[in-house]
Amino acid sequence: MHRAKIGSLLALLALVVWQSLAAQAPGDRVQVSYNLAFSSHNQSMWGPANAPSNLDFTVPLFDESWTAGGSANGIFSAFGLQWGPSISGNTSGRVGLSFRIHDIGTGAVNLDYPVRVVLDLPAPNSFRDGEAVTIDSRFDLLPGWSLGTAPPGGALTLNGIFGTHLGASGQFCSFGCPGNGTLVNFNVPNDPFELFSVTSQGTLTLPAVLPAPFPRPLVIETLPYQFGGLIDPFGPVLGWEGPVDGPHVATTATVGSDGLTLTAAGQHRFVDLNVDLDHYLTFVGVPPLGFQSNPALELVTGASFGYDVANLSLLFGVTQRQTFRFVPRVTLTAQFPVAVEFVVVNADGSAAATGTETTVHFDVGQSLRVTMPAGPRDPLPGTPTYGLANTFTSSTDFAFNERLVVSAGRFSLHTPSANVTEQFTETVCTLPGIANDVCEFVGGLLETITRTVTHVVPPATLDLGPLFSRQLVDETQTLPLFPTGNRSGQWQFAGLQTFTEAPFLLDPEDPRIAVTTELGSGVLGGSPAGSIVQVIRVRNDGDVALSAAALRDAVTALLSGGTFTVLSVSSPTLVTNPSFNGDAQPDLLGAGNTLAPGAEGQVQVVFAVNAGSIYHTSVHAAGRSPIGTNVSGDASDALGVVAFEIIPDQVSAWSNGVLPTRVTSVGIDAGLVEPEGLRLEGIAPESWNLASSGALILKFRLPDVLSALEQRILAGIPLPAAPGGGALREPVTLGTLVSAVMNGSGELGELRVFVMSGGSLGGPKPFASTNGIPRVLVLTGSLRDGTRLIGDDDLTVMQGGQ
Amino acid sequence: MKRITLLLLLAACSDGPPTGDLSAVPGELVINLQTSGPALGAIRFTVKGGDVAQVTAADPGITVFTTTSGDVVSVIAIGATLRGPLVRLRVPDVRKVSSYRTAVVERVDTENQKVTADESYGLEVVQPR
Repeated sequence: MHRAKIGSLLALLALVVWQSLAAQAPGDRVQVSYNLAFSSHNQSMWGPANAPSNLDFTVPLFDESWTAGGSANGIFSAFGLQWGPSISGNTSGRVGLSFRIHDIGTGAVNLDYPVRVVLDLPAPNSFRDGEAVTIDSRFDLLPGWSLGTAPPGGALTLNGIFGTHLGASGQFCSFGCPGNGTLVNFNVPNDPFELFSVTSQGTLTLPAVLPAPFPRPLVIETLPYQFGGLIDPFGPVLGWEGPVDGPHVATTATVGSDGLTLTAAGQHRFVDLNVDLDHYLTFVGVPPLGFQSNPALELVTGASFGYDVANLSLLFGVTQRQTFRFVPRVTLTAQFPVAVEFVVVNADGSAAATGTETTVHFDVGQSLRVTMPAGPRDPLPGTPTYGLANTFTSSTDFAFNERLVVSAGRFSLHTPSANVTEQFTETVCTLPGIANDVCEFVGGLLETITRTVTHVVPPATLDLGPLFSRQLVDETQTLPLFPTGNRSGQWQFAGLQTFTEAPFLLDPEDPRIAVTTELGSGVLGGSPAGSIVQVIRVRNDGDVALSAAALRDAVTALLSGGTFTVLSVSSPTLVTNPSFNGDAQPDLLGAGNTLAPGAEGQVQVVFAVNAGSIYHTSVHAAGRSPIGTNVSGDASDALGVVAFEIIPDQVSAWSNGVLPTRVTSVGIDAGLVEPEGLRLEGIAPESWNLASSGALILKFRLPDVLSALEQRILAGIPLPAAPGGGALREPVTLGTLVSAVMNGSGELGELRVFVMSGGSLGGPKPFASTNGIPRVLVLTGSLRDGTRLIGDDDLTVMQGGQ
Repeated sequence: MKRITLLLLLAACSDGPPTGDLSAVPGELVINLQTSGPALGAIRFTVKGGDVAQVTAADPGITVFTTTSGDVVSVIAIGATLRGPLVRLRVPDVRKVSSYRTAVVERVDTENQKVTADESYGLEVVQPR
């Protein structure tokens, strides 16, 4: 085979593509938000889920004792006798109060925590596969949040212990002192007693045994109850004044300064009593402690003796305080379809976790850096499952304030007044004024007389004590109820949902450019015979606009004698370069073109060629994505143009004869042609032979060729490009033809051909499209090496056997 | 008296000439192709100067296409041989035949070739006999 490179064409088609939409750039971000309504109700106050309180303990509030003594002496002398009382007394005692809480229920904590999670992602197509991208995350608390509580059931009991001793000895002197004797020896052993118990369900129980008609024990079920109130019958009897209620704290929730942490807190002062304790104790079995007298002593001596064992006045208040704190931590579990290399990054930039997994856990607030798998460019979905991890803190305590004033050991002795009568016997002179020793000398007489003198001894009173008088207790104290012992009071609030939401996408750019090219007959493409049409289709198969794309089109005529000339360059969608000549000016397209995702640009180049050569084309297309990724594609085609002749060039349309043709060996050896694959207007040859002259003689059935020619002409009438773009060639319809002719862009003759040949209403009409008009018939086929070939020649068909 | 009132109302509601011309004669006009040369295969022309309600072929062998833009009706007539009556125009008043004007845009012969000799061909609008 004689093969020589005789020419080449390098055409550079610059597709300057500017994307009209906002182009992606590295660093562009998008945000995806998720609204999540976390909630969990009826959680225990004392631990996860429905954890029981297990609280039953007694706390001493105070336990105080006293001991004191003293004496007093009221004895005096009169008329040689001793009169009046003396006393020596002592007092001791113990009083204590303790607090017991028991049978506490779980209470309830109810949480509603709606949040909006925002993921800040790299914008689609703003990065490449294989690159590391960062997902930032944050969440905000939405309106509608609440942290509410319902107080637990439970019982509180105030128990006490009390004992006292009072002793006194002394004497009452009247006409002398009889000596000391025991005046009183009062002893109350240390015995416990119950002050009251109250339940949070609203029952107040006092074990006091009140005189009829009061109930025994006293149970009050309408709390809060105000002792000493206007309609209270019990307070005055009991010696109580003030309110008593069951503890039930109502909390109020607030948001912390971080905007996320919730705190619910409240307090309830449910006891605020003023108790005459010594009075109350008499209702629980303690003998009266107030002023007493010893009547027996009075009967004997006429004296009186009284004592006051103890007076106890108790002020007592209890406040329950509760605080609950919810510190959230929204978790994100991202599920990827493939394992990804990741780094979980803390806010300070440090790495919290690394790995290569399909499932990545991190906290919202942290960042996730993912290295995109290299190669796949499809969006990588990450299906997020959100949870609400947290630290929940619960604390409950009681604040007590107590003041106990004790006065003990007071005595009072009293002796009445007494008349002391003295009788005097004496000898006196009957003569007044005369001394007895001279009475008889002066005539008087001595006589003996008796006289009585009465003296009044005044009454006497002696008071002693109180031997002990003090404010024994005056304190405020806080006693924790929870947490205590080994319970930290901190856990994770349970019962919160997880939400699996729509996936977010990590969408790397996928720039793709595809190019195809095809060399075909100029006749079939509507161009003159002797030309070939190169159709180049460059298509954006990616998901980003391509800019600065280029097409390089190299055409080579490989056989001797082959030349080519660019006849035209056209494109319905792209701006062409009118200066393009395929040689000195290789730029095929002008500026301002856009190749959006999915768009296709088509360029048609018509070359005038010589028969007898093989034309090769090699197309290279290149484009650049908005973030600067270059992509390219290649395509090639080859077409042999053989020297083809129809002999003769004028035939009768109505003959049934054979149409002889030949392919000569000009440029291309006809012996290289694959004869059985040749088609004239699509019709296979009836016979062929390779003549000694080197020409390939082919014979076709004329009617078949003419019919095929008619069909090709009817189906292939070229239409001008539609204004503003469109296909170079559209399926021909009567409507499009009429429209084209009406607006002056179509040929009236072609419309007539269409109509008269049956393209319009009225059915088929006699063959007319080729009658008397020289038509170019196109031979197609291939060389033995597979290279496609074309050839064309004129044929005039005449009616009536011309 | 009642009949006169009805006619006046109809005139007031009509889409016809606002003058309320009760003497209009609706009907058809014919456009003839006059030629001293060979018959044509197709012709494209325009009609204006009056309302045209409908354009139909004057002969079954003629295929007619029309479009209207404003007051101009564009007509394509195609046939094996065109000569004489081409199309019929349905108009609201045939008495205004003289107001209709035609203009030839292009034509082809029976060999589908363009015919450029204008002087050999003319169109006339007439009332049918």
